[in-house]
Amino acid sequence: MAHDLHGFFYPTSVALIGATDNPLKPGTAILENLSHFKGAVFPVNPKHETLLGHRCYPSVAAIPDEIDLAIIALPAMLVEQEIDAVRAKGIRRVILISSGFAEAGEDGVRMQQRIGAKTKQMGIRVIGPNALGVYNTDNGLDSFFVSRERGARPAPGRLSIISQSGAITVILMEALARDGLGIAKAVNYGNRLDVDDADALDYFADDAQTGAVAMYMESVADGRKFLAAAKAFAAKKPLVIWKAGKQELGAAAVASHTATLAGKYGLYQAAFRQAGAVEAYGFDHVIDAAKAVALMDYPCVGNRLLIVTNGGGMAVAASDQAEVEGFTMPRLPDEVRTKLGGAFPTFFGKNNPIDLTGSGRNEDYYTALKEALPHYDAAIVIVLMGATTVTEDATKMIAQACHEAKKPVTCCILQGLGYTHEAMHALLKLGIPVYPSPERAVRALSALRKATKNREGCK
Amino acid sequence: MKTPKEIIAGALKENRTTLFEHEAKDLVRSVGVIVPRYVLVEPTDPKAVIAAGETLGFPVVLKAVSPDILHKTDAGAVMLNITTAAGLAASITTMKNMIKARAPQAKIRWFLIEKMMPQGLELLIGGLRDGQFGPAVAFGLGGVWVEALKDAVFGILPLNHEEMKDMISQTRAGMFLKGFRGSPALDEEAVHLVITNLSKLLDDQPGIKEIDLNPVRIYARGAAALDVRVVLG
Repeated sequence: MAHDLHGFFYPTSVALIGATDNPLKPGTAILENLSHFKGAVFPVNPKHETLLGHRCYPSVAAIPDEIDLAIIALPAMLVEQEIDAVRAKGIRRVILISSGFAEAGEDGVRMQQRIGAKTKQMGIRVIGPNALGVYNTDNGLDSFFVSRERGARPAPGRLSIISQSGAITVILMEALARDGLGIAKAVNYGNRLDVDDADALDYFADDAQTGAVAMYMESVADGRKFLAAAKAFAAKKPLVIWKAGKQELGAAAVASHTATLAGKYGLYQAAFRQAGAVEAYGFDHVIDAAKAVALMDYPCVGNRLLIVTNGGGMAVAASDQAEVEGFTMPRLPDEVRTKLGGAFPTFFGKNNPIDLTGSGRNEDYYTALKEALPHYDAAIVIVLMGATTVTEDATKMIAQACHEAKKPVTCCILQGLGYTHEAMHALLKLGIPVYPSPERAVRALSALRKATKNREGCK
Repeated sequence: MKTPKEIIAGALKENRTTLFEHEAKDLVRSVGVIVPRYVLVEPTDPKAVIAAGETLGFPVVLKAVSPDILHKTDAGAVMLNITTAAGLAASITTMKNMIKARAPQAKIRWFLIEKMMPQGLELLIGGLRDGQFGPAVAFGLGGVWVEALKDAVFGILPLNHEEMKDMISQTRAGMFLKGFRGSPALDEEAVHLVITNLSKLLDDQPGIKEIDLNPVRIYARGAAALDVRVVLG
């Protein structure tokens, strides 16, 4: 039997209740975004005959077809009675876009509780309220009320996003689109009246399109349910979590030290550690780590790191960060030094880091990695595109060597305007995570190492 | 010895949400945690105090037990390393005066005389119940280092052996347990046992809200909880 959340991501027909052509209301952008959906769309609004080329229906009851999913974008006051209409139509899944519920004070809390009790009793599953809902690159389903001009959507890829915050969902997706990293699915559950963090993890654990999950959370709905779901997920696929709101205090401290020390964050850290998730420190890190775990197929099974560079300074910076992250940098084995001695000019650094200097050519990257990488667990490759002896074809050489050795590689191509920018995108397309600073490349590799450690079969 | 259930019920009957130190120690001892041997004496009976010291064997520790004193050290209610009967007699007078000065409201219920334990690495091992994550344990450097180094990490129960080791390895305390710059490795198994026993206690006694074993001294062989605090609720 399909997972309960499957119907939210793969409906055959969708009703948009509160569809409109008023650009200031969410129903307009949602209807536009639903034009990408490979399924039937039925706008509902008694004030319109047609909307955006669709026939518009005065009520859900008036729709002749069966409906799998209702997206409700009505003012909060109107939602409760609409649930009855949804129920009468036999719809079992609702995305509640509307805000003005638990996040908006006492009345909102009570209204949300009433809707929660009602839908539970009716057997209707709900995402939201105060949520963007779902985005699925597999069939174009997009319930977000942010237009594509205002929030770019990433191309199809292996990463899925679970986020408590709508704003973070949108900005993460735009950042991934900018960086050229695709996603599989995204869900923003908002006030989690019903569907929560753990449900989403449980669904993505068996979703064929999802290879890894990046998660943003401020709090969990149910700590123990979350821990169980995260543990099960991370045993199969990499899980990166960014927890914000770290300063929240725990239960009122009394006489014991334990409670004073706990705060809530300490318990979240315990849950992430026990689940086998990789904790991201913040916005940049969650993107960097997600990029590494979503793109890189090869597990990082140890901490022996190789660095290949064409600029000494950047390798020094990478080495510093490598030490912080617990990597070691053993010297090149003698036979590798001998081989590289035959292949390279005398002034190339044939140690670890291997320094190809400003004279290093594209194929030198391949030679260095081909000979040395099999002796290490992972490599950081730094390319300064300012050197005229390297071109964007260096990216192909690096990717080829990585795929031949089946060892993880993260790249650092500094900054990223014009020529450099294109080289970065070329590398990503070849499946190599690339970062604009040496520190970020190392930290991303470290995230991959942690994710590997936690996955069954990689231990 | 009273059962944990009886100890907790006894405190609740007196409308106390914290246990006296000897009650807290009896509680953890009942699940197998080692605590120093102690004798409890009425404060009006100085002769019994001396006798207790002789029974236990010097050196001993003198503590005042009072429902009005939350932080014993601050109130002058702890004196360590008392080596003779005469010293013990003098300590009682000193302590009474000190408490009168520092916590004039406090009534001394008993004197607790304990066997002085050898030095060792001092850890904090604690337990709590969280609204979202349920029962959990805390682990890190204890004693005077708790606030200064904030070494504590948490573990959500139940913890298997591997998760327990992983939790310990996150801390500086974990590093010291392995032996550090020539100091011998300490009894990590004994640490595991304390955590396991504490977990069992939290599991069996839903009336315990928070529990602190601080410090727990760890030796090359064995471990002992020198102070125990329990909050009910």
